[in-house]
Amino acid sequence: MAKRTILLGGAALILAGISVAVAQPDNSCTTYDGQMSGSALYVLMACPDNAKAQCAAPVNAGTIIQKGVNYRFLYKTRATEIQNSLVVVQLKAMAAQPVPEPVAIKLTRQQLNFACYTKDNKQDPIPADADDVTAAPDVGYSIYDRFHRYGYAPRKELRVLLSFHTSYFNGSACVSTLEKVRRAQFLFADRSNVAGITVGLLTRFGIDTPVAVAAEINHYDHLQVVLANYKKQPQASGCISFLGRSDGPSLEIDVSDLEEKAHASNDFDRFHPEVFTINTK
Amino acid sequence: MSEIQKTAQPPGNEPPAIENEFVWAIRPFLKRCSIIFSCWTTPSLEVDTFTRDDGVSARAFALFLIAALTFAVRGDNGDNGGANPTAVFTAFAGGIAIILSAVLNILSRTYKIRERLVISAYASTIIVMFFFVIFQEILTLTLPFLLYNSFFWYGDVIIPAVLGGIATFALLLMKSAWWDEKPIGRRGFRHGSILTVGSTIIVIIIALLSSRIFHRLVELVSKLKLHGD
Repeated sequence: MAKRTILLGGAALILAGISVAVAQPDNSCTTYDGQMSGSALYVLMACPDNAKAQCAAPVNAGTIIQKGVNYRFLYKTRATEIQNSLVVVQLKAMAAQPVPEPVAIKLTRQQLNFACYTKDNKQDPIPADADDVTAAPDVGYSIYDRFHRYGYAPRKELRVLLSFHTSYFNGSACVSTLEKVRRAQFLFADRSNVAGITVGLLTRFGIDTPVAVAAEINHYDHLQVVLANYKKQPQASGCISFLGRSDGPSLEIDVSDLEEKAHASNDFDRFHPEVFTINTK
Repeated sequence: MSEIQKTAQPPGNEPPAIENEFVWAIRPFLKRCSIIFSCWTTPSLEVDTFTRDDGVSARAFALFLIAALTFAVRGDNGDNGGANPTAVFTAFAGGIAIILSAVLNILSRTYKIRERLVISAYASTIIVMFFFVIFQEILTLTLPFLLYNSFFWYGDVIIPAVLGGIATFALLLMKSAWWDEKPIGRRGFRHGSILTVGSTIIVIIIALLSSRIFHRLVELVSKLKLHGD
């Protein structure tokens, strides 16, 4: 009996250890907060004066990362009145040569603690470990583009996209990531061309022609969308953290803060992401 | 004077005016539409008031509309990674036409259903499909969490289909009562509900059927038809 108890206790401890290892929260934002200023992207790299320690290096024209290595990126927002927001991060790894067909888009969503219409306002990450891109669901580029532009997709992909999108409390109301301006931030090209329900229906019925797929998307051999989030006090900066890598000559990271975009005063601010390009060696 | 003589035609042989050409071209289309519209009523007890040829052409036209709407219902533009989008498109359209036509033909022969009831079933299916697309689009963009989480993960199909069925049924009753000026009664209510429930089930099947199974069915039905000939 005692042996069985010890065995069960041991198994429980091992399982608990595994679950801690899998779901370990990333606290890079807190750790490196002092090294970062607002509205900038940082990458965690070996410090220049101490190769064993990690520093948050600002991403600029001179930043170079190694091919095929995962890097943790941190994005600190400007100090705004926003309390809760979701941030769409598009990771586009440049291919050595253009690909014949656009590659499928990997979708990852980080754990959300201010979701609407869920138990305890929590929503689990997608996949279970949001940093594990290999386990992330994917959707063909043209279907992804059509869904965010016109609002429809074949059932299999519709299920994936409906599970990926969410409703969240932005500090004053519950809003959906599928509202028109917020939906536009998920597009990889031509963001201002997002249809309402009427044009969406006309396109779905085949009466209106959908927008052609942008040719420049064939320059990338890895496309990924990370739906990150932050919660902060008004007048403070938010911070998000995500992993990125590239096996090609460069990595482009487009960042769009959904609440900032939804309240932008002009079309340029509303539909243009912050773009960061990092070369590889 | 000579110019006038050259261009003048004997009376009755004048080339038709452009407006007449247009009317001539769309007349068959309007005729088919009007047959479908008149057949879509409840209770449908009248004998067929159109010729067999007109009935066949109206059914063919309705079938064409159903095939076209199939893509809208499935949220499919035929370019979802297939090697030949046009071929996929045509296969789907052909498949839907073959399956629906075969099923309704067997039913009408077995139960001696009148042509106008078969056309009425086609019309109901078209209208449920139309409403399904509208409701699914609106709900996707406004209440996505409802579509995703309800009815054991089939809410994205069942909710818009049921709403489409209810809207079609209401429209059918209104059309019968106000346009056709019919006393609907219990029988009309029963006929109408059977018609719309059947159409709703067809639309749910069309929306849920996976592409792989659908292609298999099309192949199977095509073989059966060939053996039947």
